[in-house]
Amino acid sequence: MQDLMLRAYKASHWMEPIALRDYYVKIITYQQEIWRKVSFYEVIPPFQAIDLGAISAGQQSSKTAITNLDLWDNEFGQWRWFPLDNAQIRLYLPSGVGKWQLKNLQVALDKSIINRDPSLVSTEICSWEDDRPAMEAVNFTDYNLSACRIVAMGYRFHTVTIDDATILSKLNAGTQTYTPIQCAGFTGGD
Amino acid sequence: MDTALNKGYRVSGAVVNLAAAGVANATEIFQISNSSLQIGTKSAKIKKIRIYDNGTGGTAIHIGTGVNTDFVAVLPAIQTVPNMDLVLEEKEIPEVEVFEDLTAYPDSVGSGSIDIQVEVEEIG
Repeated sequence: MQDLMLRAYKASHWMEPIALRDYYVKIITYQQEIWRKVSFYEVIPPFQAIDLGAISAGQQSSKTAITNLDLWDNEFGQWRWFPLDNAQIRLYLPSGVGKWQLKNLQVALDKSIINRDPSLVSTEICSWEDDRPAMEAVNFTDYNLSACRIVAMGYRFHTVTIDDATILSKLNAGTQTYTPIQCAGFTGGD
Repeated sequence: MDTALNKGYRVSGAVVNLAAAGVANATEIFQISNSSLQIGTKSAKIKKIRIYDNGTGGTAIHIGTGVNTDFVAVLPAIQTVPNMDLVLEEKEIPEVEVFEDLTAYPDSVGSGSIDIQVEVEEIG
């Protein structure tokens, strides 16, 4: 009956790299925008990115930086992720900026995401170098959690400077195709 | 019909000993997650029940919500056999959804007691 199940993302598909080799990209961090060209990418298989640790019933973990998602200089990452344990996770990208921040609520994610969005499309984020994301977890249950583990997967992309002044000029003018890479949350407001 | 969007995940309550009979002694067997920090409201459906009768002489177990005059049964009573275990699986349990903590009590315990544990699908 799997095919008849109602899912939030019916058109979702498995993860694909956001850019390919030789693509021009605009890295958009919280404070700057950088033109780069992709020179190399590789897939990162699912791995345990962090264990936010034990959390008592009804309590919240401290906000913890995910250092395992740090990348080398000139690299950006594309990640999808889900929690293994029974907690609601809030994401920050970078640490001081809430991700998925609506006007009245910062959206949190729990492990039901596996049922509702099996391809994890809605969890996708990008990060630049070691501008690492951070997470905090709420143990909403009446029992203590021994661990709060996060599994991440995705791609890392190595990029190089664009030396060609003509290309840069076209990129700035908007006449050269490029891929924007959003590597930060947005606090909202004008 | 089960859909992926309202599908929850399975969690177990603790093993609870029911040593006192009667609705006034209805005891919590599963607490709905209701942390003030959580986003959203949780509900639960019972998916598995394990009972062990510690020599009560046989009794009926009532499962529901609330205590005393607030008790509302969510299933018909379940009859135990002395010194025997009893397992009800998902296909034998009506898909009742509750938004409150689950409670249970036996009609009588004699000189014994009842151990009970439920597994629920918590949704939200």
